[in-house]
Amino acid sequence: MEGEAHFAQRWGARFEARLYRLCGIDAAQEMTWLQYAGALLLFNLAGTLLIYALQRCNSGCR
Amino acid sequence: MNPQHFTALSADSAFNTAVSFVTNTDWQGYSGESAMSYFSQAAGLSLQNFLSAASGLTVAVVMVRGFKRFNSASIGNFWVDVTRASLYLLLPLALIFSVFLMGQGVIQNLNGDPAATTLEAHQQTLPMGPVASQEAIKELAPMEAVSSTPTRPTVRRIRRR
Repeated sequence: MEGEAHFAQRWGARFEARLYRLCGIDAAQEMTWLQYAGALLLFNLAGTLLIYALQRCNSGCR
Repeated sequence: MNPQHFTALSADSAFNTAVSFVTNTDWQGYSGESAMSYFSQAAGLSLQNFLSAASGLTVAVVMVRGFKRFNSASIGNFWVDVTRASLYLLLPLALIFSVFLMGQGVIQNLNGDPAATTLEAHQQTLPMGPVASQEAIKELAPMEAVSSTPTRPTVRRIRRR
């Protein structure tokens, strides 16, 4: 996931750039291992909360 | 997207499933097709099938990157890695696989469960749902998990240094 652009990455580059802009991500920003691990944990914590909420509101929370 | 009108799951069961899907274990203490609404299945469980697999892939990639980069403080950007893993690997593979499954007759709809009469004149409910799209990533995600397990050459390299 670094080095020369893969053919799919050349096709998807514009879509990818738009996604990053939408989410406020600076794609060129490098992370230290601690920041990287933090982002990974945060991302999966958000996933846990989302699934938990969806199941508790399975029927639309009526 | 809840034609069967399933109700909310209990707190402990929901927590168990949430942790299970985030860790790519994908274990449920109930039968998914008779408890989960289509929306919860697609937006929650299948989404997390993608994202937990993508998380696993980034960990594998970033470990290799850590070995490769010598005397470097940074190891890349997590958000970029997780986006690329989903966008260029998991989504295309899941798309191809789910279309193949549909071609082989796997169901893919949002209908309610129809009742059928068996040959012995018993009543039977046939579970429906968007099965092909969910089955594709469900089968792919654990494969990604296996492929991101550190292999022997990596272990040998750690010992040498």
